[in-house]
Amino acid sequence: MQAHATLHATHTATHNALRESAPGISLDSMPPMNPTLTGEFLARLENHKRILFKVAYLYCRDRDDRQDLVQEMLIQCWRSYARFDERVQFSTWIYRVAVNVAISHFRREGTRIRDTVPLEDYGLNIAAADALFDDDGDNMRALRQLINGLDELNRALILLFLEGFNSEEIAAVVGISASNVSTRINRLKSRLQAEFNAQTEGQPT
Amino acid sequence: MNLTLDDLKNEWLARDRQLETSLRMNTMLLREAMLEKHGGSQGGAATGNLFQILFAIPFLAFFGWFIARHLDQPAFLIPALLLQAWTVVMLALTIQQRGAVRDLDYSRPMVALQGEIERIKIARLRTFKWAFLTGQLLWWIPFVLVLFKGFLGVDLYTVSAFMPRFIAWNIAFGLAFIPLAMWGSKLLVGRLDASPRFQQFTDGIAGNDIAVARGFLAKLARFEGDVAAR
Repeated sequence: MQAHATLHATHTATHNALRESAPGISLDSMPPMNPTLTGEFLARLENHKRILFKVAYLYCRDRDDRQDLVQEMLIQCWRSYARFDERVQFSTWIYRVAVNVAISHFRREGTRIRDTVPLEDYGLNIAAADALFDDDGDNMRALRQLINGLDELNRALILLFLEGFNSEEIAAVVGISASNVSTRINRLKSRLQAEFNAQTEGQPT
Repeated sequence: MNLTLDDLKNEWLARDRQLETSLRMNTMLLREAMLEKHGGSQGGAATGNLFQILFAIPFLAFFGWFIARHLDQPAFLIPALLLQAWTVVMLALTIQQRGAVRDLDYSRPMVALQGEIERIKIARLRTFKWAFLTGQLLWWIPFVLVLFKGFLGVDLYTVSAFMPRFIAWNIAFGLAFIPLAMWGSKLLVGRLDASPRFQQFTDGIAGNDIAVARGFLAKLARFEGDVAAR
């Protein structure tokens, strides 16, 4: 009886703690958005949708999980869009949301609460993009493998570097100083370069 | 020939253009999906809060009524007050933490947002840990005492000569269980791979998850610190 009473009384706290370990974004928690704002959001998303996929690809190797991750990004972008105030560029904003969702996803792998709605129902088909990444050449594959060896924070830095952002722009996404970004990027570049060279030198010609 | 990371960057960006044409977005379908969800504004959190409040109301009402009737009987008043306080605190903490998760702004810079998530996580893990450890104590003997007295009018303290000792031993065991459970769960950290849920539970009681979250906060702080100055 003791165990039963305790279990009963702490059930909600347990449930919430587990959810916190996996604070999945429920489809029921979609925010209201007027049709005009929805249209505006979708128009902007159309021009930046590849960002979601690229970030997802770097943080999640499993194809099914990646679908879930892109869906979470999409939903979170939509939820956050009402707060978008143009103080930063939309591309910076969407990178922030995508990287934040990806890191949260990355840190709770294995304990996620899956949604059952397929991404296709949201009108986003990423199968062709998956195929494109599958067809990557040796260099890109080697680079991806090296990036997979980085932790979640440095992975964001190198992604933004590869995307062509400068230090100030990366600093705006990541939230550290531009000088810190420069130093870290240079170190990461040296490290990845050395690892890349070692890897390619070891390959048969 | 050795490729530099800058060459790889160009290759990366070239693929970006292909990606742009590969990804297909059905704007109409997405728009419909979004507008369909229009009525579900923050429904999950609100429903969760409502459910929890509805669940707590009978307990709060019962304890409140019981406290009012036993103000002059500390042997019953104290357990009822503790149970009432436990219920109120847990309800308030859960609603507050659920609100904090709901209000997270994912468009904040990475370091700031990840730090906030981790602090909320620590607060919730701590709540879970102490809800369990204090709950196993309060929702046994104190609850049974209050329940029997409140519903049946039975004073368990006097039902037999053995009962006061039984109650005292159980309370002592409940108190001793708190450090024992923390110690025991620390021993089980990382040893229950076959049962991830139970492992998660013991990690929570041992405070292992809190240590991991603190470790990530420290990592964020190091990341934020200016490496050039070191």
